[in-house]
Amino acid sequence: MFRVKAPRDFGSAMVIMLIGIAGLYFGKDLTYGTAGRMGPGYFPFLLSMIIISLGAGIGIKSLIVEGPPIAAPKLRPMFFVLISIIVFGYLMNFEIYEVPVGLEITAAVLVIIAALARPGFNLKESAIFGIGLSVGTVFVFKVGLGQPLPTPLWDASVQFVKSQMTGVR
Amino acid sequence: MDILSNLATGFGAAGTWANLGFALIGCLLGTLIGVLPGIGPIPTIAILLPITYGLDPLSSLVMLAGIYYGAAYGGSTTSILVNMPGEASSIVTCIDGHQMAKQGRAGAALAVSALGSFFAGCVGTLFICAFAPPLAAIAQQFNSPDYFSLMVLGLVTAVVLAHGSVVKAIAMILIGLLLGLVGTDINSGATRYTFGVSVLWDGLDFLPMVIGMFGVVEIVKNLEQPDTHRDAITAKFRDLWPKVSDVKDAWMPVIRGTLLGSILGILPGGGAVLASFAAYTVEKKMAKDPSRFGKGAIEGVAAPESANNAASQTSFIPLLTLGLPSNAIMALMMGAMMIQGIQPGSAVMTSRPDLFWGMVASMWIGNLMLVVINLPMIGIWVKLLSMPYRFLYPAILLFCVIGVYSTNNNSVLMLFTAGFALFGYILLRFDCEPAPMILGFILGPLMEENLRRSLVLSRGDPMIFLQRPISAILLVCTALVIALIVLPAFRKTREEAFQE
Repeated sequence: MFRVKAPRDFGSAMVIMLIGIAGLYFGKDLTYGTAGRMGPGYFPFLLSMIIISLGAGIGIKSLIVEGPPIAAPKLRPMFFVLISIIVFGYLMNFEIYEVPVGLEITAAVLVIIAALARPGFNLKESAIFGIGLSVGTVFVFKVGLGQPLPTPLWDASVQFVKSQMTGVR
Repeated sequence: MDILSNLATGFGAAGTWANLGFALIGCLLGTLIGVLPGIGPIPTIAILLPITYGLDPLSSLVMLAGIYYGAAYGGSTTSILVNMPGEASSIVTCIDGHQMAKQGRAGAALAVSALGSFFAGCVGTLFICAFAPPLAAIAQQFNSPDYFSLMVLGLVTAVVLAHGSVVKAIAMILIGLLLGLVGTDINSGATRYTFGVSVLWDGLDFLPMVIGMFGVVEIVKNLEQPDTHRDAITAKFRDLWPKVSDVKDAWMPVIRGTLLGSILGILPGGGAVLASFAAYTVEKKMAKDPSRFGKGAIEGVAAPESANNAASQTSFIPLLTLGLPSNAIMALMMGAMMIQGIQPGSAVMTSRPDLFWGMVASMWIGNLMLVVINLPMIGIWVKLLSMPYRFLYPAILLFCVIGVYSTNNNSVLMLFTAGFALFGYILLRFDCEPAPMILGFILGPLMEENLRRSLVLSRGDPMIFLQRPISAILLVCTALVIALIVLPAFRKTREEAFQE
């Protein structure tokens, strides 16, 4: 029977072939045209076919030539980093009673989730660090770079300070 | 003198206070991120790319150039002091640079590398002035078939000169080309691979891709490494003055490295990595006592550092004149230019001379700033080096994520970022270098367009690529390059070269 001699190459062959097949499958409805009058499907078809054949080549070689094993993936770092990115996107667009959650809280949440990616998680330390970074990012991105990011807490405090100052006058 | 008046235009455009400020900020930020252990120039540029978005084209290019040089400088600092190369181009510097640092000559190594790089930067700038206009003139003769063949040559050489498996790298380029086609086809108006997602109609966004695949993957990669105590060797400002004997030993290697790097940088597929490896090998071959190398030979720092800086300078030449990025960093630069509405190529020099020469001038300014401002700040960079990673990575991640999000406040982009991060991670596990993919991604639409136009011209006959002289020459070169990889003798030297 087949024995995979170079697991890393075999794995990459699978990924590469999968992409090529996806390219063919999802491009199947595009008009192919002719070389002289290329349709939108011509170049993608060409590319997908070459990708599949290269993948197949790597795959066949991986059955013949010995190669290094795949290093065991560590799931924890990748998992929490990905989660933190997705949660960030979700929270930034999330509104409570038409008030966006905003950059301040979202940034601190991202830092805390990201901190879970390492062993030895310390909630207190991460929370303090998250708040510090959150203040920093508001200054860099909102005040410094003027990006149009929702920052309700910052806006409220600016408003508050302004109202106090006019009140004094 | 043509060169002088061109340079005057450039310095006039880039020398405004605002642009000098952007160059300075770029250098500082580039060094700040670049000095962090394990983060090379590609992730550094990717991470910092969003902050240049809001600026006008010239300022953003000036800042990007600053970031690039800052990143390179930061990388050498880390190599010398901690022995942790961020990218292939600084591996060579580690060999002798870190040995020098261990012997208490960290200051000399840093100074020689900075001053050598500055000299190389000056020469590289002159190289651009001398070679860019004639090359751009040649490029104006190019037609669609010639451009297509040029891109084929560029992509193939980029693969051969990079490290890792050639077949995998070609596959990655093709995957990049395919991803570059996502969006609305300009000729037919048909949408391709958009899955009904409206964000994709304009094509896959560049930023989530590079930040996911380079920025985030880099963070995860570093997180997987066990916590090691990083022994940063401290260097103080007063130690930075190299001894007379050091200067005596270093100046010839600096000149040799600069020339070698300048030439290798122009080649499609060349660039900093190749240049530093080649310069190190040359120095070792020329040395009276090669056994000193690897034990703290100053030539082993001076030559490759000058070479990689010269090459990073001159590798802008194919990008700015032919519109051909020769490596992943240049692909990032090209992506940044395209976001600013500039299509790099021979037309830029004639239609926007202020932009072209301004950028050239800003390269020199960036190099000068590194020496004058960054070198005295060495103490701060060293402090940063010894900062624990658990504080660094959430900050970097936050910066990456906000950068992507702020481009259009759309949370779908975050899903793309996460998706590309996962994809990049899987590729890493399977030993696939993701850098060539960026090259393909940037060139995808251009390549299709030129292929299509060529075949319309020839009514579908592929022989057109061989009938046109320029295209034929380029394809013959491509065939020679492919023949070189297949030939076992060359293959062996290539493997040996990357082993060192």
